[in-house]
Amino acid sequence: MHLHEMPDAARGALINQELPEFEPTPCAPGPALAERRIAIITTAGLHRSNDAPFTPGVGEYRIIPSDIDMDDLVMSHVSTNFDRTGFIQDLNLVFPIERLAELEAAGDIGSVAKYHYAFMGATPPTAMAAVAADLAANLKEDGVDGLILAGV
Amino acid sequence: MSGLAHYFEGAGIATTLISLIRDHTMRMKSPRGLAVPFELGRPFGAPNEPDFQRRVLKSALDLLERMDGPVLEDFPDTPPGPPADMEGWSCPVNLAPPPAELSEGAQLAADLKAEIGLLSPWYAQSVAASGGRKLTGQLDLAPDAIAEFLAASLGDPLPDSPVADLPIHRALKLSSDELKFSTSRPPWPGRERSPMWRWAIGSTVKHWPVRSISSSPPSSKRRKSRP
Repeated sequence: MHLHEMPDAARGALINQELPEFEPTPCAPGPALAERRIAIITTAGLHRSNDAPFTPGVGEYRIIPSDIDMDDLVMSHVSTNFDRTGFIQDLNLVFPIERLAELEAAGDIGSVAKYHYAFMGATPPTAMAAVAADLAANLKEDGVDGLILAGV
Repeated sequence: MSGLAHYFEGAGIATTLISLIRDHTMRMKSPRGLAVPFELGRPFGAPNEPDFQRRVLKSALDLLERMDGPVLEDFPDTPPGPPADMEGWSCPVNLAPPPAELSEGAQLAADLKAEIGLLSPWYAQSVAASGGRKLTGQLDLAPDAIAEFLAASLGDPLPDSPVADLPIHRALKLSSDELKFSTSRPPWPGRERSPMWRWAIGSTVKHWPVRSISSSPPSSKRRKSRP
């Protein structure tokens, strides 16, 4: 559903919801895009079908190795604001793993990270702060110096 | 999502994000963002449109080299293909008259099962065309089992969730999504499927009584705690 298709009250409630306040964070430096190693962070609640489903609001994450069978990924993020029929047809609509590989093959990015990560949407950001710090260390060990973040 | 961008950027890893709600990204001062005019749930535009998806992704990644954040650029184009959800419902099958006098709920449950059964070839076609992709998602039930669950949801009390640890209200939303998809014809090559609410499925969802539903799964279905 497009924002402009939502009933006024629902759209207003979504857009004007209370959000935590952040001061601008200085931009981290890095090499040219063609030399960067990129990982995907999604808040679509993706996980392997045998992984434990997300517990809403907790701020946990799931690991998505680059070499798994991507057909096995399921989405456990549920919202009245969207349906999952697009995702069911094409994983890349929310988790563009094949598009990233194509950019690597074309030389537009340096490489694709070994691991990607999924959070659950509609989670208070502060609930994710501690695990994000831990995750940043994992990403650096993987040599990641660029993240594409996409929610739903 | 913007909060995560701040945390990772603060840890020294450059971030760029796809923004489906521009106001949120702006208010939260995300380091780098690409605002896209797409539907919620579709951050890369449209399914089965690799060229378009790649262009969105590349546009977002190009921002990684910017050091003048907060940066919020606008992606100018709308996705190709038909709208994801067409107006109205469709009535693809003629449902037989009731064999006997049934209550409204019982009639709707019978119609629902009949509709799913008659449209089951579309689901079989989708499975065959999927190349092994999992179509039933977290619910992991065949469409007729989902239909049984949805039909039971018209009763009072509500049935147990069909999946352990999956709260009933989430199971209802997942099941309606699954049926909406699985009763739609697979797309012609190169075109997006346009799932529509079928009559009995849509009517079932519409007839759900407003009830207070606990978000806790039934205790009898709860798994043992994980260590």
